Amino acid sequence: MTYILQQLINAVQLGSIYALIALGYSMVYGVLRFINFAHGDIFMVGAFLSYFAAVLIKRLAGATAIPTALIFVGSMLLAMLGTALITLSIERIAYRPLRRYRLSVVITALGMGVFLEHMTLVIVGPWRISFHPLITETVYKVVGVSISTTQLVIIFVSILLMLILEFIVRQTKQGMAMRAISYDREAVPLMGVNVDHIITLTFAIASCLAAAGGLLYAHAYPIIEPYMGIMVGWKAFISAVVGGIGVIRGAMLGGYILGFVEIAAGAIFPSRMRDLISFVVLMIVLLAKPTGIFGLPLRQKV
Amino acid sequence: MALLHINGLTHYFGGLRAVYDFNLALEEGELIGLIGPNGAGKTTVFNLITGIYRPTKGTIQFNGQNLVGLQPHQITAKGICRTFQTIRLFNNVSVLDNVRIAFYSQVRSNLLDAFFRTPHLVSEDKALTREAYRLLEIFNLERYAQELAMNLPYGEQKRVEIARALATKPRLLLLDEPAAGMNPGEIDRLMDLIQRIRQEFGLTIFLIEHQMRLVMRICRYIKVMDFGETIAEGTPEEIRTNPRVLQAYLGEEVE
Amino acid sequence: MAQWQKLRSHLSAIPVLAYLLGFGIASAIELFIGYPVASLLGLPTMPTLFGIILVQQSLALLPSAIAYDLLIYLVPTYIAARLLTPLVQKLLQKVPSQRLMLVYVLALFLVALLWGGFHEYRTMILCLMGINFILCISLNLVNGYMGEFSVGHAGFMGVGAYIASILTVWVFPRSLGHLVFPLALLAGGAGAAIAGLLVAIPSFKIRGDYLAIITLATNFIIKNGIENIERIGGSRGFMGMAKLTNVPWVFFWSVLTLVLIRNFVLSPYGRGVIAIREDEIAAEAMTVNTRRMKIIAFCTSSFFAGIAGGLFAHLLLYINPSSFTLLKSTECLVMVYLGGMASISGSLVGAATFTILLEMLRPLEVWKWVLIPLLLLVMLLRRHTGLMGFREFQFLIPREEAEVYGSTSH
Repeated sequence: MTYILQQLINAVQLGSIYALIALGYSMVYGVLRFINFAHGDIFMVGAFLSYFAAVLIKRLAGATAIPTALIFVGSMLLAMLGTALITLSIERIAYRPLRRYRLSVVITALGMGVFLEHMTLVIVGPWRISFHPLITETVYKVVGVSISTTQLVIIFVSILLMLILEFIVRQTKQGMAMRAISYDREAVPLMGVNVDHIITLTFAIASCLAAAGGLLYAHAYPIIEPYMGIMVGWKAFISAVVGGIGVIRGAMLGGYILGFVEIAAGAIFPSRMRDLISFVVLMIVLLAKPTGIFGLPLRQKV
Repeated sequence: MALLHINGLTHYFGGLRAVYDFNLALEEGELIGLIGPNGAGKTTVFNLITGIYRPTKGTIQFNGQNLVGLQPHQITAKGICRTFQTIRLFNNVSVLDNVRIAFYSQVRSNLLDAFFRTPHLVSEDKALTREAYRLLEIFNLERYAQELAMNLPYGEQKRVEIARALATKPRLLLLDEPAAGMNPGEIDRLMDLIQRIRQEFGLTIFLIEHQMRLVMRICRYIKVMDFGETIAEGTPEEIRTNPRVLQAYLGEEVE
Repeated sequence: MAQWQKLRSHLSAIPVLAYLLGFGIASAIELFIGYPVASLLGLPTMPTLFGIILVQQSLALLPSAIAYDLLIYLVPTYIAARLLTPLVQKLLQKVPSQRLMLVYVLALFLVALLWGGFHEYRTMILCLMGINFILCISLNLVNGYMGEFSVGHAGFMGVGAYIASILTVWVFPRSLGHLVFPLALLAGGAGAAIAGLLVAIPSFKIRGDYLAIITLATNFIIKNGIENIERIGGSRGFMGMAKLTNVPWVFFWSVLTLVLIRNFVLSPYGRGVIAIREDEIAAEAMTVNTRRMKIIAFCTSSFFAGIAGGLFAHLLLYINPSSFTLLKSTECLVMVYLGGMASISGSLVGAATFTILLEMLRPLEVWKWVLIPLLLLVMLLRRHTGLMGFREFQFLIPREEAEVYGSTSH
């Protein structure tokens, strides 16, 4: 029983990170009907930027002791800012001019992913960097189940971010425009909404969530390297699809589902089969429900 | 024996009743019209006949054969072809190839012939090409043969769609709002064209139309739908004076 | 400007075939005087790839390398092409149109052998080019002609590579070598085609982006699947193949692929595939059996990817699951979109350009993969369907189609 509870906590931790990244895929897809294949690498960039931000903050602070929580929040904000800037420039240069040509823009997205990976490789070199946690680790024991501060922070911060996102999407004008575009792309521009602004905003939010995901992931698995975004990105993408891409709650649910599936698969099968099983699950879900769990049935108008 | 026999055709989209208890016995050589306000379920009837949707209930028989459950391409190959309400040409393909694609089910060469481009395939394809040109000439479209379909003016695109449908060698042609977006002069020409191809190809025609002018003039029999149900049917004269129709449809149209 | 125009029209008056033969003659001359000319110009070795690699070692060699290219390739090619022009024109008139492609193929083969047959490195590049071409054109069938977005081509390549290698190493007697090589490749292709069903069957229900995800998952499942089979080496890979892939074999399979796929896309069935790209519902309504055409397109595409995989395995003599990851699939996609969508000529151009580009940029190591995406981006911004998108070289189109093809292909 405690074993299962313990695994459940692990699953929630992993699922939270997947959900954060999956949201980015899903939101962009909702607005643009476009899979941003570079998003996994944006997540990787987020992890690196938070590493450098933390180093920078510590160096600026010098001898003065600042609370770790402040470093944590500070580096997260800096990473979000940097990642958003990079994402927005990519959107401006590589996606926007090609937006009308669906296939070409997907190719550039794949290309931008490769570009980010290798640009990072050029800058930081082929070494794996170990990420020094910004959280002082204490392990709590609750009815035999151990929860670490890291796990609590990861789960708490992800949920907080998702709540903020829900607020933006449901309560602000821009957020509602975002949802409106996902719902009907033709009608919204007619209603005086500047679609370009909404797209920019969507990419910015998506990259902020990915940056946060990068920072949190680096706390759970403290080795960062330029190719780390590929696998995590694809899996987050699967989560988005399983939940129903384009639907925000779908991405969250999908992230947690994948977290559970992976932890369960890792517990039952040899760990090297873990990825294989995740992908097989994806295939099965898509075959059973081609538009994901929350996805609206896409009835083509004839 | 009617050519097309529809009995108790009913279709639901989730909880929404799109078509309810639609019946039709269409004799060979007839030209009948289906009218009704927007969202009355007219196009859904076409989609059910051509197999794009599978009916919730009811039977559709064509030439004595059951159509329910067949895939759209099989139904078309049996001799029912259609045009679409919003033009659905193969845009980045030449007008000629738009027509040649529609010969698909008539191709006798097999896949190996295709991969090895055997003389059999080459000569068959040549014959199909000639046939396609012949069709385009009937519609006065031969000069556009090599033009991409999307580069044609709207009216020409509509004619290409009819030419393409005829390439499937239909006995029954379903026209979904052929006159939409046309001016009175164009509608007159369209009516001539429909009459002409009907005689030339021995077609039975079933058309959906919004333009009352056209329906009243060329159809000998009209069915009227509203909210999925057939509310009236009869000759144009009967329809013109039917109070339910006036209320549901003509009243709205006349404004 | 006017002079430039004049030069252009002068150069384009010479038929492509004449240039091809001219280049062959230049390559033949190089065989004899390549080394002496190179040392005369102060180059440390004979340039293997037009001096590109030498220049990257030392920029000071640039003038000599250019001089070498001028002396050995450009000038002789031009002179020979001009001299051959009347002869070639006569030949082109005499040869019936069905045979025209054969003439080009023979000429190309001769040139490939003369230029590359006597250098190990050039042989390698030519083989890679051919393999890349097979990958590119087979992917183009699905992505360009059928309009689906397959992201998992490398997976099918991997299936073919493993099946063919297992057959030649463990099953077939080694002494038979080249005799059974085609059988191994065909078996690899067949295996890949069966794997292609993994993608084809979901495609009945799922389209567009969702199908892209299925192809992606298929790529991962194949790669992870191979990693988990210890019997064939797991993630350590598989080796022991004999070096069976050579220029003639690659040339043979490339031409075969080209001809078969060209024939298919020009046939009524190929037009059915194109109709699926344009509008699936209208295609069905016009009697196209879309399910059947999807199965055929996906299986054909993965079949040839499997063949390419087999050739690849017997060229590098070592394969492991990480040779067939998404990066390899991305390479295939880059070739397709660089060369041009829905174009056989585009696949030729794309594969050739990409292979040479990779070689050119090889010394840059990591920077290579920084530059290639940027180049691709610039390319796509200028021409969003690729260099030859929706267009074909005349000589690839049979005459009876050329008459009706007309402006649609240009």
